[in-house]
Amino acid sequence: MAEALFSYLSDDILVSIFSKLDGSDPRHRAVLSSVCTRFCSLLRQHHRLLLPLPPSHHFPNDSTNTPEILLKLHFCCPGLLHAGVVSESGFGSEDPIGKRRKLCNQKEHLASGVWSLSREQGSKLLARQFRDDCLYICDWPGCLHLEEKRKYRLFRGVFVDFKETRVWKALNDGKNKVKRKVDVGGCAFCKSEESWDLHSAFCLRRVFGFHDDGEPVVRAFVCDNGHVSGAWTDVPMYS
Amino acid sequence: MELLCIRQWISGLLPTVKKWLSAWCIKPVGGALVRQEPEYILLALMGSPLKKIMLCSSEKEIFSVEEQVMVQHSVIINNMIEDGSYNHEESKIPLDCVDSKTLKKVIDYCTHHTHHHNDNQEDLEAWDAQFLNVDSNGLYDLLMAANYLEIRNLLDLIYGTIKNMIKGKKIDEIRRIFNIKDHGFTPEEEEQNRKEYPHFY
Repeated sequence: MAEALFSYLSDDILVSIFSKLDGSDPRHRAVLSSVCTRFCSLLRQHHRLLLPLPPSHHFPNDSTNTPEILLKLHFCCPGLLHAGVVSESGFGSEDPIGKRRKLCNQKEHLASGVWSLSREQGSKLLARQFRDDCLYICDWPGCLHLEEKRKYRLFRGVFVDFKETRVWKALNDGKNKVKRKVDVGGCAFCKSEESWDLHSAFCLRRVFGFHDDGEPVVRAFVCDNGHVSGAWTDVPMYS
Repeated sequence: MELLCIRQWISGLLPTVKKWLSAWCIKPVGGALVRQEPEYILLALMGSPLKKIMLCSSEKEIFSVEEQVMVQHSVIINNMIEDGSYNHEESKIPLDCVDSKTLKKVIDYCTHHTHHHNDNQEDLEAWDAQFLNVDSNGLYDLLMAANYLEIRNLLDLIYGTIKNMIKGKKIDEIRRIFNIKDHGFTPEEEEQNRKEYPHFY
């Protein structure tokens, strides 16, 4: 069989072929590293070949933020559930088709929009006193979800050295600690079951505010491992 | 750019050179000097017009090819000629890993790119696309030959072609292309991968 010949390609030839792929597209790494252990090992050895982008060099020995998790953060939208837009308890009385459509959007899926993460975007999210914390968030406009009430632009990201951050200290501070924990169906990126509400812990910029119906303009939740899921909404044109 | 300057310099010399050639009774051979391309005139002046070398395929078939063509493209052949290990009078270069069909194609590629390097990019790319319109066996053989002879631009071209074969493909399709029967993951790892990236399978 002709195709059998390609299984005899040497490592350096494979690496040369992989290097022709667009290194900034995280899908290539995700796909190739899942083809076989040989490809996976080559990509780990030549990690600069196919990026993952900035965050990976911050996590050299972090077992909770493996290259695979960091890769997933680039292109996996956490879904409306993990971003805290909907709850698991459901949607009231809707027709079955609407329910099925919502189910698809609830859980994690391939994100639309840009797949790069940037520290700049993370800085724009955090309140002033937390600006020294290093947070990478996906670039605007995030993954767009058109819902009945409004548009939600879901984002995801990760803190570097989360347990060393001021955000973590603020979340664990004193008597209000329990109130800041929320149930958003666990983290979309790791096994962490609990999440913290960054908005109610005053970790987000105050300027974001609320809509008339009480929904926050920006919401964000972080798990114990520093993975962030959230949603932007459009700022009302009038106050 | 340097080549352009040399060509312009040579073109300026042409009328004088032509006079010398006829004075020295150097006649055009095989139509080469008639082409009036400056580099051929210069080679004539140097006393080595279109020097040929002999390449011997794995099937012991001899191919005669312009030395300049192979020296420009193949690092291996260039090194052999530069270090003097190739004797023009007696030697042929044995290429035991390259069969006749593949060697002929490699020579075609190198010859075309030497003689048509001034063509516009689109024409060259079209020619390359046609050149690589071969089956998987042929592509593999060309890759091995280009790798062995270290022909950089042909290697890049073939890498790009194989990249296009796998780009955007699902994991199961890539396994078929590379005939990967045993991916090496444990059943648990494979299941985990399929759960992580269902859209890629």
